[in-house]
Amino acid sequence: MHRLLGYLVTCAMLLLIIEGCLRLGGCAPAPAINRFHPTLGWEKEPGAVTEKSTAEFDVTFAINAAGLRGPEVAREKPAGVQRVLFAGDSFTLGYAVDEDDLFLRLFERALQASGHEVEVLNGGTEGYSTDQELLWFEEEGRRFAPDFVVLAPYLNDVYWNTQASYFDKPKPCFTLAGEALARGTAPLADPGRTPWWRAHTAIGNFVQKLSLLRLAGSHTVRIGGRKAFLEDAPVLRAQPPQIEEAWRVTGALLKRFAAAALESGARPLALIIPNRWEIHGDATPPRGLPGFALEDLDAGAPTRRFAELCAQAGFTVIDPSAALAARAAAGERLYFEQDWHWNAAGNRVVAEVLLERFTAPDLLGPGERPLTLPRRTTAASRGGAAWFVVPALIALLLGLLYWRSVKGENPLTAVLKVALLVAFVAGVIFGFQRLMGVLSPAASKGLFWAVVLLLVLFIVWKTARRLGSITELYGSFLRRGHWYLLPLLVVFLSIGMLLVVAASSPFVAPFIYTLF
Amino acid sequence: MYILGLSFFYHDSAAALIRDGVVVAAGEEERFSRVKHDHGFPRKAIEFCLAHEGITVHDLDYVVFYEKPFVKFERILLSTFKTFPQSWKVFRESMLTWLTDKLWVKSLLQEKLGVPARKILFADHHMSHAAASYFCSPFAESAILTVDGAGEWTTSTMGVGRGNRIDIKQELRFPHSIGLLYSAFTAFCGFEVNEGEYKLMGMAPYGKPRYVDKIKEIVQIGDDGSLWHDMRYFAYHYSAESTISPKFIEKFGAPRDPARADVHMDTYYADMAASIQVVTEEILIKMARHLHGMTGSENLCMAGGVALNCVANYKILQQTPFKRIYIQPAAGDDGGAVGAAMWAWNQLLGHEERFVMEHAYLGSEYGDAEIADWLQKKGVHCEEVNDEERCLDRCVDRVTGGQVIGWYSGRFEWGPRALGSRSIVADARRAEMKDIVNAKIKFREAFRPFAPSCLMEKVPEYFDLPDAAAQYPTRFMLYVTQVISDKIPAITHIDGSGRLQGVIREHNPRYHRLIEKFGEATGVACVLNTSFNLKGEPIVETPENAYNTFMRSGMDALIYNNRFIVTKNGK
Repeated sequence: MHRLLGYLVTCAMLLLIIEGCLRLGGCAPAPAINRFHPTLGWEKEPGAVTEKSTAEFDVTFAINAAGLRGPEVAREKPAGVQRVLFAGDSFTLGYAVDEDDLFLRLFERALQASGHEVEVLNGGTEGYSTDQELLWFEEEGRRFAPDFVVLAPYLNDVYWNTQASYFDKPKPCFTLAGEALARGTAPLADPGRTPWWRAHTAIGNFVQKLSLLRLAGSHTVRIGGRKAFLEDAPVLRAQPPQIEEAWRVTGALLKRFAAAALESGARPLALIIPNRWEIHGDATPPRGLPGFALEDLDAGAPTRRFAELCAQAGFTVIDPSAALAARAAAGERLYFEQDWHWNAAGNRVVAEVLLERFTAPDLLGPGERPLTLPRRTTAASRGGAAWFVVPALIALLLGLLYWRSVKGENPLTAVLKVALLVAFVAGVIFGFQRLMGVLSPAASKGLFWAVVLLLVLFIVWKTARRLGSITELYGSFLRRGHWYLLPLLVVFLSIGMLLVVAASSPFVAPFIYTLF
Repeated sequence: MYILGLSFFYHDSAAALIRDGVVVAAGEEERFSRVKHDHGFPRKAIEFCLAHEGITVHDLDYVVFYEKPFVKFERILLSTFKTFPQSWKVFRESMLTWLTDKLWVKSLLQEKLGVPARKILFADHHMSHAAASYFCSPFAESAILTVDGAGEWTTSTMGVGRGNRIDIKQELRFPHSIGLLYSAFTAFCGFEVNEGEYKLMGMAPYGKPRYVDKIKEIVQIGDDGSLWHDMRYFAYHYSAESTISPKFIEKFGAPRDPARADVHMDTYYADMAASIQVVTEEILIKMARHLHGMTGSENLCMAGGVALNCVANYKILQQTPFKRIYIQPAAGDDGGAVGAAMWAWNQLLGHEERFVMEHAYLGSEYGDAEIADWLQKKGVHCEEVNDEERCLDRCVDRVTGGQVIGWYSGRFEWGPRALGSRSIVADARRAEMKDIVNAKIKFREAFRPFAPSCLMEKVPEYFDLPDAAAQYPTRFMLYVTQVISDKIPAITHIDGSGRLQGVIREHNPRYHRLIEKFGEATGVACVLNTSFNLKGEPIVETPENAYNTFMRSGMDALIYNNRFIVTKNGK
């Protein structure tokens, strides 16, 4: 029994190590900002704040009391202010950028700076398709009494507009009866809360991703023997019949959206979101279309089709693809490499396009002052000399501790010796970071995981024999009734393993010993 | 069947090899590494043991470690938690050593020796002590008393051995410990803990036991010898630097400056040494009496560091109903190596065959050819005397003439005492020899006494020990008895006692013959014998160690294997 418990605790320790590695690799779970909604499937939770961290970006979301991303806003439109309400999915939400880099916030600030009394509201929600955006506007968005409603469709909306669930989450779904849209009126079934371990651990997050990957399998079709994830299928030259049908539903949804906007007194506009392959002409097709060649794609087709459908529906169409393509042609990277969303630069271009269109006489007209986008705030400008000050302070502190603990050592020599050690460690760490920055995201991610893998293999190689001892140690403590000390043991032994590894290698030792 | 017993990672690392239940080789690592009280992995001692039998690690059937590291780790964790945050420093330091080394004994043995896990066994610390004594004793049944600082949790045990089984009946647990109590006063009197305990014992006769009652105010002693410390006076359970607390200092005054310890005989501290010695003896005697009541045995096996307190040992013989006592020459943790191996052989594997450790000559030896080669290679001038009797005569002439000789012969001794294999020998009749050897040869404290080596058959003529031959501790210098002769002042301590070694011809014929010849020449069959080392160094192991020590000291001659005589300046 105790041996079994010992094995269990050893497994727990291994899980902790895996958890740590996954978190280091950018797989940390982000606290959910969405909650179940009986009509929409899900909605953003008012007051939720979360940080999302991946290998490519670290962003913070704050949802205001009205359930919108951004600063607090009054329900009632202030007198003399014109409101622009954006509805859309993760592009609109600003899934991959901080609030300050998000196109609609840049757009708002530039307008305000030029003298416009304007308020921009962000109604974007991750994973929404046109049907949900429509229902959200009808139920919620119209209450903000916007003067302009900007819908931002993206190619993956098309397929999901015909689905009753988005992977594992139920969602509303319209069908076409002739030209009329129809939808069941029964409330959606609550899928229940995500299990704690899935929501709060990197392992759970990883498992969740694997599970979504499995679910994605049920949303694929075979075209000419090649697998196509239907979400990405609108870029294919030869579109499967499901997508053709989905475009029909999407067209009807767009018409209803435009009508609803007009009915609420807002002017409908459509900001068509081009995809990365259309703008950058990437060498590889989307991940959902692995077996297809670039010749099989017409990456610009979804934008064109959306523009056409939106115009037919009565939207004023804003298409930033030309501006984006021009900047991309100039060598600027506007989308993330792994992620498919706009990066800060891409958001900036879109903000410029919006400004240009909105300051036309048929919309807001020119402001009192010239339009200028706010300065970019980047991580590089933060921190200043921290890269030097922090290691220097660490070296000083450790050097003094070393001097105090070793008899006969000169204080200056002691600090210098430790400073050299710390400089070596810091040099390797900063050098590694620099290298990661120089490499392409794919290469840097590969390098990171290769280093992690090598380290893990080295640690396992050096400590494999001790795993048996660890199990026996847990068993001993359990047998003798000291189960309450096991968490402490896990921490100690993790440190102990690092020390053992450090002691075994002159290359690893400086890193570990500097740490302690 | 070969079983290797090991003790390491505390103090006095050692290895012992038994073949079919017989101890064939044993040695402390310090002899080979030349690091006093070396506590590291005993690689060289293991190599010696295996080489002695001409085997490799693959021939070993079991490797037995002398204690259970996990249980000890548990004790350290719990006791430091109990005293946190006072214990944060000791906690930090101990965790570092435990997490890097001490926890991984099993994997360390697998890595360093290449033995599979199934061959590695762990014995309980005090069981190793008990086995080291009882399974090496000549007794078919015996009471067993183990007493030391601390093992895993246990600090003392009382048990009984019958045939090939040991049953531990009672135990005293940390932090209440005679060993730690004695160590606290060792530190208080200015000596180093785990090193200076025997100095404290040697200092005791210079004082009067004036503070026995005062000491008893901080420890309660039960009729059965059980002990309860008032922990407010001690700090060894939470401090890395001190064994005594400020409250102890408030009660007994400031500890003695260690710089004075080796030079001055401060009366107050001598009285304190005498007092703690009396308290220790009282506890041990009470324990022994209680144990006798429990077992009814006339035999007593003792082990643990406290069993090296040879003053108390003899008082136990005198003042309790036990008629015979057995103490293994390496009674401390080093002896745990033998104990662990013997425990596996007799108790765990159930073998009935018993071994008796009749003598302590279990270490390495160097033959005449090896010594001659080394002397020649190093260009050391020596006189080679092929006739043993003639060589002994030359040695006796030197000793009777007032010279001090280094005596290097045969296998070195198991345990901390030099017993005639690696000894410095001088004339016990000359009172001035004590000061000469202390000052010019050993460079150590003036108050330190020297031991006599006496022909076993002649012991009753010089010491108050009528049946010396029946008492094994006399072979291993583990009794301090009263000297009844006035002919051996150099080895007579200030209180008229002497730490006797009775030499038996069959066990060390050369040394026996040397003393015999000395007796023929002088009428006194006793010589002054002290360990062949300088202060702070381990006893010599190789001919080279002996030569270096000889050259750095005031010794007059060095005799290798009763054949090669090395002198300074050819004199």
